[in-house]
Amino acid sequence: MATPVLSVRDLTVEFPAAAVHPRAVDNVSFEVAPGEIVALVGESGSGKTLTAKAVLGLLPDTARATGSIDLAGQQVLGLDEKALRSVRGSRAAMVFQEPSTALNPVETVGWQIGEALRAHRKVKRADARRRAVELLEVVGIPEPEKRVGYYPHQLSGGQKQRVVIALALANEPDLIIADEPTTALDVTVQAEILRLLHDLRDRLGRAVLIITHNMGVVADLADRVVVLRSGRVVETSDVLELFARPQADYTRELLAAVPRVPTTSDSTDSTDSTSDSTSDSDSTAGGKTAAVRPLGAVKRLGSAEPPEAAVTGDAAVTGEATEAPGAVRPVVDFRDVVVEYPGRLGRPAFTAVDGVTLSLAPGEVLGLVGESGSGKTTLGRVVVGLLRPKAGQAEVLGTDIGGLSAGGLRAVRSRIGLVFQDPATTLDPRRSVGDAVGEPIEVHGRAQGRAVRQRVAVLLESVQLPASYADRRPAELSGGQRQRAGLARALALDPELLVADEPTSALDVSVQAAVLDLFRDLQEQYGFACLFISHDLAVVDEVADRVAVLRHGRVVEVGRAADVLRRPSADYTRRLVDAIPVPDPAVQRARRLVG
Amino acid sequence: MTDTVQTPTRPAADAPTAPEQQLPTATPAAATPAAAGPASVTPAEDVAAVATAPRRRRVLLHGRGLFGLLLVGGILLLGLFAPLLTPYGPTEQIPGANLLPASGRHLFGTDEVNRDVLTRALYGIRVDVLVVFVAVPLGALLGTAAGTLAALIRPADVAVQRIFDVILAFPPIILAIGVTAILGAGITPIFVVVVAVEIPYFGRLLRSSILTLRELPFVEAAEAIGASRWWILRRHILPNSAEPLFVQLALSMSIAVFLESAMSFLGIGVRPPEPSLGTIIADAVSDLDTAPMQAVGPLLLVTGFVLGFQLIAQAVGARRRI
Amino acid sequence: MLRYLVRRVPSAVLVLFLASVLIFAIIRLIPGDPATSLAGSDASPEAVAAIRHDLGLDQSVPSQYLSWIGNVLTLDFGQSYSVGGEITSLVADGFGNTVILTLSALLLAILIAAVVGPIWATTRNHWLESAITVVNTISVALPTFVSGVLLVLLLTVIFPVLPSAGIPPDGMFARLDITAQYLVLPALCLALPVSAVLSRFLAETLRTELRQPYVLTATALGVPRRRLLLRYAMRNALPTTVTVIGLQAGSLLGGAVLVEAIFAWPGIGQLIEQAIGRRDYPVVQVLLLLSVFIFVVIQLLTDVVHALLDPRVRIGGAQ
Repeated sequence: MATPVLSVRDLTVEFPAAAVHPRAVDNVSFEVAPGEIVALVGESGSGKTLTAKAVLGLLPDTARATGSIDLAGQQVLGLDEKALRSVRGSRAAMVFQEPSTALNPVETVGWQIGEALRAHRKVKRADARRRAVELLEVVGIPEPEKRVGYYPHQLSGGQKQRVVIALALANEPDLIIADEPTTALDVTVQAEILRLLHDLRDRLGRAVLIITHNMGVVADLADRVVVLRSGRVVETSDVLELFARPQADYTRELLAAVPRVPTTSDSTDSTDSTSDSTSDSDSTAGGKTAAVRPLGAVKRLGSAEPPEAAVTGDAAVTGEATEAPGAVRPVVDFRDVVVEYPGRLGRPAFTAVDGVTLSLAPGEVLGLVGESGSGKTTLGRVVVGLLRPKAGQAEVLGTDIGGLSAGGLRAVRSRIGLVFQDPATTLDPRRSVGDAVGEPIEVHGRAQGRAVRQRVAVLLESVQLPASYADRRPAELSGGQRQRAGLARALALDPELLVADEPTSALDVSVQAAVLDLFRDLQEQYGFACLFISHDLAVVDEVADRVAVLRHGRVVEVGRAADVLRRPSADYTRRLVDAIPVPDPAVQRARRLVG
Repeated sequence: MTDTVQTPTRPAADAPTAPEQQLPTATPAAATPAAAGPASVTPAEDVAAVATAPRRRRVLLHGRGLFGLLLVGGILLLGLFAPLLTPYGPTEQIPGANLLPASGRHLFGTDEVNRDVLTRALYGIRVDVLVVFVAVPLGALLGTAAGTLAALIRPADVAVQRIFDVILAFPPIILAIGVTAILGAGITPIFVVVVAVEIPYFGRLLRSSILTLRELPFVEAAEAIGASRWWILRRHILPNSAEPLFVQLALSMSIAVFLESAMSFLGIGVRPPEPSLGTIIADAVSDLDTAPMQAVGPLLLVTGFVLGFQLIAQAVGARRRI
Repeated sequence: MLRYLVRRVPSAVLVLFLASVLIFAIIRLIPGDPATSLAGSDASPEAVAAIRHDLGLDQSVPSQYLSWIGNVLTLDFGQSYSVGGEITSLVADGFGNTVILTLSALLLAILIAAVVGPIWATTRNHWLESAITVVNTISVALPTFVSGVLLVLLLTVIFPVLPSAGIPPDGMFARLDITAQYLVLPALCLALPVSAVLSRFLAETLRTELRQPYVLTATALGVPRRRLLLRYAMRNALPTTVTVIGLQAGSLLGGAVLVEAIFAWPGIGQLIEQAIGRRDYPVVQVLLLLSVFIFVVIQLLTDVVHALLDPRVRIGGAQ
């Protein structure tokens, strides 16, 4: 191997002031060779981002770093501010996670590239502009001559990330450090950015250190992988070797927890077979492809049956089995639903949902997938009555949700549970977890005082949280625990319908796997119908019976999950599925050669 | 202060599909490793980021909060126990004590009509107490109600907002002049001005607070389970607005002390011979070179009062930002 | 941008209209007959009737308003009954002095904030930070008339280095060094609370901006720390700071009344104080309307400047 562009030896980062885990990075060593792509992989708290920041001396003041970081012959640790400044951007440059905030909002793209250049040498205005246009061209921004004068808010998310990459390239560093560069982006955009990063190595010979939690990204991009856990290196290995024969237990667990979507190229379930260790999740996923879950065999829990007998279909559900969705009166029945957000400042209204027809049978899980702006969240909000459709018929639990009075809406809502994306914000920070979980019971006057507390304890137990957690504040729970509490709250009134909006996308993969397991168990136990909204096809594949693909407010394709994800009929769905990097480097390389 | 520029918001509010909103690992708190792996999937799967719940009362028991509380409390007591602290009456003319300089007998000296300035200053505090603890809460209550109305009832919003705008178009002192023009000088215009000035502050605060909170997932979640407006207001919105309201209350009290003394200073507030810190200062300005304590004494009281409320507001406000 | 203005201007006009109605109503709301109280108790019935006619009190209320606002809009403010002479010329005299005072105060406040804000936002020296915090808190809390009296006491009574009150005897522009001597105390007194509020706001905004990801991006590219503060964070803090400056204009206008009273500065504030004392309502009305007009226009202007400074408002429409 040639002299490495980056050589990290025994790097330790400590926070002396922190009460718990003061040592965030613990004796980490690895190298990056010229033109090599190395991935630092780990879940949150693994120390991967701190390691990356240490390379450019960007650690917070409270941190203390020891060991050695050799950046192309220059020792970085212990450098003073001025010396660090000359290293930053010129020997190594960094690309950050959030393109929407990584750019200065009040300056043009061209100005920002000029700044990057000027930080290291004197540049004439015209030269800076010429170079900026050149760089924008390199990173694949269309019409760079025009875009160079744009402000960040005039660019799309993917274009912004390209500009951030252009900034990183400005001073021709040997190493690009990319910290979760695609995490905030839609899958199709992610695929483009990954291709760009590949290109930078192939065409420009740059080495790339990519920090990610996404095994698909690792498989797609990396030559070598460093797996981190709790600040320590668990395993370092060649990417093919790592996926084929993971050495450390942790790596195996991590790989097993990754939800997978089968590639469209091979419609057999071959990719599923790589992860035998998670018997539970895979048997469900695999089994589901064979048959739709038996709907009638559900046991309704609790006696809190809604008093309204308005739903005629309800009796049929709780009775004997139904073969196919649609045979009974659906829980959600949308016909040509249109939703508009009124335009501000005299701008035209924005049509978020544009003529959607959908139905959801009792006990069925419908996955609603789409990229940002597809209208999937808006649809979820219509179902729970937070938004009223402008046109079309939106029937939920047998009543037209758009035309309900406040009282009628209240009655319908008592039969719907809702789980949001970010468990940190869905629970009132000032009230205890018990208050939050018991709130639906109190709101609908189903119980008082002790009875509520008892029910809360039962609910917490059913989501595998200790009953004592009822007295805690949401801030005292971890992300996964909060999402469990959110589920308990949604199930408090034993709903017939659950709307889950990105319930696991804020969680680490291992936590996500656990929450998805729990979700499946509860769904079987309670038998609720569920509208499962997610951008993540792999997650939807694990839980959904049927899938609806949305794009720009329209349904592109609906069908059984197995069909839609394995044999997509719509072009867009195929592109969506193909854009997901498969957590298998061999497959990913083959796909890249084909594509 | 409420800003008047409304930056246009994005039209479409489809959920940001950002997966894995990772906490910035830069902060030490977030750098605590989430230890457990997927094998040990127990309810305690990742380490909770234990954040202590904010405790408002504590911030008033140390540092600037305590100092502010002591200042306000001390001056308050001086005003309430004025009859016990001084042998003179506020309008009593002491024979032979004309324009005496500050001394042990007359700490702030005496004025040109033989009254003890300290006594007048102590009684003068009482006007402020009345304004601070009657007029400000009244204005706060009216403002809070108006703000709630505006936030909850769309047709009322436009009207209430315009009323706020019109009141805010008058700088407080200018408003005071206008009100006095109608009502004449006295304690009534002070009350009217203080109440009027506070209404838009509290109204806008609560309106924006409700509108912001209403967008938050936990309030939407409450709405989605069928909670009524009143329930959401009582259970979620008001408790979560309490702290900014408290900060504003302390700020408004300091503004009220300032307004009262400024109006009296200009001669459009409390009418002599009734004592008020503002009138005492105004009277003392002409004799500043001979009897500085006549002005400085009441000045210290006014400043201490205003400062005390400011410090309380700062202490509680700083707690919020963390 | 144009849309923004189209939306913003009518609401400002509406506020001005409503305020003018309120101010107009003053003369109707005062107890008793305004003409009698204006003319004085010993005036002849003819004199009262003349004043009544002058004020238009013998017409219907809407037409009274219309003729009053018409006069105001043509800058014909009528006669002052107590001070004597044309209100227009009285106002014009005072207006210049007030503008000189408030503008110097505003510039002084901005200058102080521009120096203190960045230092406060970035200092790591515990003592310096505490010192700034204490001085700032006291400056915010110190009522204008208190600081005014203290400044007079300190710099004209104890250390008599400055003239205590009034304006330069030879006029404002005869000798600028003398003007500065007369101006410095009232301007400083007026600027103090405004500068304190601005410094605090700027420091807090700068701290927030320095924590933004774009600053980290620039740091990672090797942009020096000083430039991050003075160019990046400052430029991003500017739009909101301008808005706050606009809001502070209100406290400058109100403060001017107090400061002019303390320092015998013959401006609008002093005029208004005299007019109130003499119950000269037409003068009070004109001055109130003028204050409100200036305040509303300043806020409108700062909103426009805000929009110009922020490309997200100026060039709306993300793709």
